[in-house]
Parts: sequence; C-alpha cells; structure tokens
Amino acid sequence: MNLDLAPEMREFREEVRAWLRENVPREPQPHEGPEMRAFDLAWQHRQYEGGWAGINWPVEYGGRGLSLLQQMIWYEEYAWADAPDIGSCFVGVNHAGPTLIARASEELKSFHLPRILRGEVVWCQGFSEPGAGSDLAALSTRAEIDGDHLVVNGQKIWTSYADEADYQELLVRTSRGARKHDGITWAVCDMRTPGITVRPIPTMTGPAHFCEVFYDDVRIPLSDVVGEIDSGWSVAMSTLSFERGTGFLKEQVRLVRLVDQLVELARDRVDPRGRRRIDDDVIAQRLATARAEAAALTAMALADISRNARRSQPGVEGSMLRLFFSQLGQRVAKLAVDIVEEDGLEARPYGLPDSFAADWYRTFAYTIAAGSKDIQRNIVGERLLGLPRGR
Amino acid sequence: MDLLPDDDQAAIAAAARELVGATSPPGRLIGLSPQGPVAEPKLWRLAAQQGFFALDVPEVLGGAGLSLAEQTLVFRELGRYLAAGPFLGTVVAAQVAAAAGDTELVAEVTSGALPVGLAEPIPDGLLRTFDADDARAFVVVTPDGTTVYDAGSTEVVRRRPCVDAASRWAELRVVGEPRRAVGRAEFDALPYASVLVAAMLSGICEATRDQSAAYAKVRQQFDVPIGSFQAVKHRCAEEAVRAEAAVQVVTFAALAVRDGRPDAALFWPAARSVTFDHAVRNASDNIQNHGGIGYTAEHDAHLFLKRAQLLGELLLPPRDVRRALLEAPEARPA
Repeated sequence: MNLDLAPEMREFREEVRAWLRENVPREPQPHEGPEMRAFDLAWQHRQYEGGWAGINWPVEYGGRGLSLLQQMIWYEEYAWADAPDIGSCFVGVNHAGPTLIARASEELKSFHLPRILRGEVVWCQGFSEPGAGSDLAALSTRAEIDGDHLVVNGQKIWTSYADEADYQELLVRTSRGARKHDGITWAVCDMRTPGITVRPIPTMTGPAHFCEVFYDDVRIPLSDVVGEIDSGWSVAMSTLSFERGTGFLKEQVRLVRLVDQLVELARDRVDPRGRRRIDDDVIAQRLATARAEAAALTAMALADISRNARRSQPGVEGSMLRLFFSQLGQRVAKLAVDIVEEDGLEARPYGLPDSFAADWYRTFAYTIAAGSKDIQRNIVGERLLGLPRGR
Repeated sequence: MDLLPDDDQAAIAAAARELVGATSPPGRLIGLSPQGPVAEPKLWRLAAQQGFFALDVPEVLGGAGLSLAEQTLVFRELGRYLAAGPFLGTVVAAQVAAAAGDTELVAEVTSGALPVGLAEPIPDGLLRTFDADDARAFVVVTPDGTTVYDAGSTEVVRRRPCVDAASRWAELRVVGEPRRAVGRAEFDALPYASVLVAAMLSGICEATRDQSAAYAKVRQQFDVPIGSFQAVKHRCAEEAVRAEAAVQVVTFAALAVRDGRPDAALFWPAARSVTFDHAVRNASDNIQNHGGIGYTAEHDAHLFLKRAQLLGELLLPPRDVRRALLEAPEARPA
C-alpha cells in the first residue's frame, strides 16, 4: 500500500502535462456527422504523432509498451487538461484494439492495430440485437460458411458510430449447439461491404450516433474471423471486463473533476432571492456526499489498477467499479441540473459547455451500456460472492 | 503506487483477523451485562502481546515502526468482529506518548497495562466517553491538541445507556492535572483517529456483506436458496460494491494522512462519510436479507447497525464531516 510515484513516473507525468498543454485542441468538439469523425480522428492522430497513442499497447503494433500505471497517469492528466472525449475512436482504441491484441492473428493485428492508433479508422461494436440485449448469447444474426467467406444475414442494434465507422467487431451465430454460448463467432466486418444498411436512431440526448445495422448476404472473408469459428463468446468476454473497469478510467477522473467544478458552480450561482446555491442545505449535503464518493471512486480505480497490474487479464472486480461509477455519475449529473435550477430546462445539444440537462440524460446510458447494472450485479453476486445462478 | 496490501501487510491483517475472530466474535455481545467492563480480557492481552498498540509507534520508542496504513488493517478487523474495548483511545494515547517522547507512558499504554478511553469535549466543559468502565485513563481530542488524563483525574457526572451494547457512555468532569499533552503540530489526532474510525466501519461493511451472502446461499424459500433471486442477489452485490468503496477509500486516506499529502484534507473526511453511509446501508440491507431472524436480538445483525451508528458520531459528527468535505481543496494528482 503506497501512493508514491517513482521519480521516472513523476517525470512521465510532467512530460504528459507539458504535451497536453501545447496540444489539446481548443476548438469545440463536434458530436455529430462527418465533422465529428474528422475531429476525433485528427485528435487521435495528433496523440499518435506525439507518441501518446496506445501507451500500454505492445511496441510491435505501434504502442508504447508502458505500464498500466502510466496509462492511468495519462488519463488523469488528460482529464485535467480538459482534452476532448475519445468520441468515435472509443471502440477501436478501448475495445477492438485490446481484443485484437489478445486474440487475433498476426495478419489482423499488424493490419488493424496501427490504423487504430494512427487515427485512420473508426470502429463500432455489433453485439446487441433486438432480441439479444442482456441475454447477449441469444443473438441470432446468422452466418453461413460459403467457401472462404462467412455470409451474414440479420440485424444489430444500439450500435454507436455505425454511421461513421470503417470496421465493426461483429458477433454472429455460426451454429446452434447444446449451449447458446457455443456457436458464436467474432469477426471483423468491413462496413463498406455490400449488403450493409445503417439507420441512425435519435436518442434522449438528441440526434446521435446511435444506430441499427441490417445485413443482407454480407460476405466476410474467413481470414477476418478472430479466434476459431464458434468460439466467439470467449473472444468477446476477454475484453468486457476491461471495458467495465480500467477502460473507463478517463471518465472516472472526469467525474471527480466535475464534482469539484459543481462545488464552484454552487458557490457562484445565486437563486432569484440572491442566496448562493451552496447555502441551500440540501445542495450542500449532496455536494459533500458527492465529493466523498468521488474520492472513493478514485481509490477504487487505483485498487482496480493495482489488481490488474498483478495479472494478465482484468478481473470481474471491474464490475464493482462500473456499478459505483455509473450510479455516482447519474447522481452527480442530476445534482448539476438541480444547482442551475431553471437553466436546466434550456434545450442545449450534448457536448456544449453548460449543457447540464443533456449531460444528465447521457448518464442514463452508463447503467445500460457495457452490461446493464442488473447484469453487473449478477456478475458481482455470482462470481465474487458465489451466490447461486438464477433469475 | 499500489493500493493493495503487500505480503507483510496481508500477514498483519490475517493475524489480526484470526485473533479477533477467535476471541471476540460479534455474538459475544448478545447477553453481555449492561454494566461493567466490556473488553474481552483474552483479546486485550493478546492484542497487546502481538503488538497491536505499538504497530505504528517508532522503533526507538519500542514500537514496530510501521504506520497508520498497517493500523487500519487491524482496526478493520476490530470493526468486522465488533470488538469491544478502548482500542481506539489506546492507540491514540500511544501516539500522544510517542509524540511527546514519553517512553514510560508509551510502555504503559502499548503493553495494554493502561487501557485508555477516547474522550471528546461536549458543552458545559464536560467530556464524553463510551469507554467508561474499561479505561484507566482517557485521551481527550480537541481541535488544538490531545491530552491524556489518568482516570483518577476525572469524575463521572452522568451516565447514559448506549444503543451499542458494548459501549459504556459517561459524561466526565476533569478534576485533576493532565498526565501528558501534545499540540496539534506534534500529533494531529483528528485525521489519525478518523481514519481508524473509518477502518472499523469498513470492517462492518465487509462483515455485513459476507453475512448476507452466506445466509443467501443456505436459506431456502420456494425450494431454492434466496440468493438465486435477483431481489436478494442484487442487494448483496450492492453491499459488495459499498464494501469495496469503503475499504479502498480508507486505505487511500490512511496513506494520504500518513504521508502528509495535500489531498489528505479531502480523503479523511471522505473516508468517514463513505464508510459511515455504507456501513449503515449494508447493516440495514443485511437485516432485511435475514428477514424475521434479522429483526431479533438473538441474531447479531442488529449489532452491526448499532455499532455503525455509534462510530458515525465519534469525534466529528456528520454535519462537521460535511463541512470538512466542502472546504477541502480540490485534489489534483501530483
């Protein structure tokens, strides 16, 4: 147990801080359409050029090969520098990339990983279906093997950035075995393949990058399958823990900062009778609790990193971090709306400064995406506490 | 940076767990006499012998030379088993003696020969303690400094029954001279003791989580263990999340206070706030998970709730914890 940073880690932090000071884009980040894609890729590319992409990815695929701790320092400084959201680069950098590193062939790794890091491609995730949400293994998008191709027919849904994506991590059903988890295959799907139709779905935060995707005889080369045919479930599971835990580190740091900013906001804002919002006992109580919980979140995240640094695969403890983070994020976002009172009613697009309501609506995704909070609680109950399975 | 215990620290925690669990399980409090000393004599003796009270006393003064971080591991176990007795006051007094360089008092306190109760100022110039019948001395924590009085230098003004069966609540008046006093600059008792209060609360979070999970595996209704129902399973899972948050924020706070970091001003009140809230909620959920038996005095579920309630009020009541949280500077990583 120690909070000491070795001298070389302090130097690393200084280096990160200096680079971010010079390089963080100051223009507002677009959250829609081709402008969003262009902005996100340009920012990813700038990080790559600066040597900051893939900090703990292997060197042979363009990463830096550094430690998880250094990755954490990067995220901390990134959040404190008010650097842009990773946006449409999220799936490639935080999910597809780590999955490919863990499970893909050399050919796929050396083709895709540098492109992800250099900010040349946007990825999306084709997992959920209309009939397969929490029960992901019930997915029914079919893939038949035809020569050296998979031929895919079916539908995916809740696919973020599908309308801007170049590639998709796609789960398809290649056979129906005794267990529904068997018979699933994980493949890289080129989104320009004929037969793919993408329909954007507006969300409660407004127009968004949320989509459904239809597949009509879409042909995917067998060489783009990751892992074996019918073994896609284990490929998908190999990185979900990452997505739930350390993958959200930057968002965790940002949430801690947001709470501090809300304390300032409540000191600056006055109600119509001229009373500072922080002098409202209810607001003060909620802010104090949020600060305490944000401090606990910082500690939990560091504990998660400490655990993961001692083993090769992230553990299921990431689900506890995810549960705590996501629910705290919702409480804090609602608190912001309550501090600004009437101003929270103004419809402002997500991503603008002071878009408190849209920021709050956005947090509803926290307890649905990457496994709903109910699924996370099943995981904690069954895999950490050893409770019997059941529904 | 690493928030998890190393091998030596894990060994300290395991030894404490074994000792406290074997000598002083929570159920001991059921049927405990409402008067007289509460400390389990064997636990007190062995705790002193194993060096619990001297864990974070410098080696030159006869201690183990470890730190508040290791002491939190011991106090988490004391919390887990609802150990009774003036443990907190005694380790605070050991720090006072060490800060003053009073080797005689260090030896007397760390050997267990002088059990020291924790006392805090209340209005009308009185002191409040919950250790009245075990203590042979009292350590008084004020905003300016910390003072040890022999019990003979105090007299009981009033006694009040406490919801926590293992507490002996009394209001005291000082009638004699202090035995030893140190200023805040020499030893800042409030953050130190607050981290240990939070450590005990984190132990309650873990104990109630584990009791809930254990019961949910064996209690059958509708022909299956109740832990297979999501309504129960999810409550248990949230208990696990709260326990994890409590344990980790305590460790972080202990290290921040020990190392004199700027973020200590945020983390020790945060540890108090989070562990108190989580311990009360875990203890409440644990009672609910047990159903009828959880409501009875024959089961120990209620004891965790009542101890949590008491610990939440010690030294710094929640309203002052709240103020400290709002006043603490923002904690930018350095």
